Amino acid sequence: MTLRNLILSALMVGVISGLCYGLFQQLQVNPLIYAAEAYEVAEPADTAASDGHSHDHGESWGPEDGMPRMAFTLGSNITIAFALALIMISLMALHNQKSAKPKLDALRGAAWGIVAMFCFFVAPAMLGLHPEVPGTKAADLESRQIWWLFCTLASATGIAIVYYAPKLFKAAGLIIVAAPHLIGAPLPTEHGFANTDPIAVQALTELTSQFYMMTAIGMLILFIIMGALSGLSLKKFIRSGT
Amino acid sequence: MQNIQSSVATQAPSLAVSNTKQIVAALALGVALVLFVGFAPMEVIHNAAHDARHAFAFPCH
Repeated sequence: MTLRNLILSALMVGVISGLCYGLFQQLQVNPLIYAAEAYEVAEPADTAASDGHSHDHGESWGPEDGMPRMAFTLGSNITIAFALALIMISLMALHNQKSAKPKLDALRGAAWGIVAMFCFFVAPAMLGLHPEVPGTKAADLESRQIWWLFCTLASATGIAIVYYAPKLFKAAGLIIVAAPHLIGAPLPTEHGFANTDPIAVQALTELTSQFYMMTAIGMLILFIIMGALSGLSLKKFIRSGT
Repeated sequence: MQNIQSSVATQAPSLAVSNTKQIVAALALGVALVLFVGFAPMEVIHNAAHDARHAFAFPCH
């Protein structure tokens, strides 16, 4: 019963918050991604082959531009929001079950949402790897993904320790939150864009700062809605047995 | 129907024992799904979720 209620609640929260973020993305974020892609340059290996048309993603399937691409993006937004909501609601259920601290409601949920935004966006992206438009130079993908996951896990664990642990251990929580940043995010040896044309660089720099702003606003909307609805569904649908 | 409800009610205390396991299972499912949509290296998944990965500031490319 609990598992079913957790999944159904996360589905509801994920669909609503994912749709909101999806619409926001179509209006405010995608235009920036498309604009940046116009400046993408072919990989050196491809240009040597003097093939007029080549794209990063080679021959593998990808959704057609226009409606299919928008639909897949929206579907991915909802799926990611559902997955994040499932994580959030499960942790909230553990909180309600194990902790003597006040139980979740919509307002406390919204506060959880802001903390989640820190763990999933502010710490790994804004303070670490930076949100990127396509065509930005970056370090090796795998090391960035590993650092991202490490940073998110450390942020969440550290904040949980600060919140739940006895006073004596709270400082350890702060150290865990800071650890990924002390180690440092894997960043490219030289900053910039794959396209070195000065006009492109100027346009991409401008697009990047807009992208920062818009993803941050979008993430704030997403996580506050997600947190508040998650807190509400905990109160309404999920029994907190011991 | 009443029978079913009452039997659920009487089972409730024993269900509570596995409550934590169910919560942990849901948590694991959520983590696996984030990894699949946001981080899986397969080209097809990357292409389908490309714009969403960028918009969540997941490492991409």
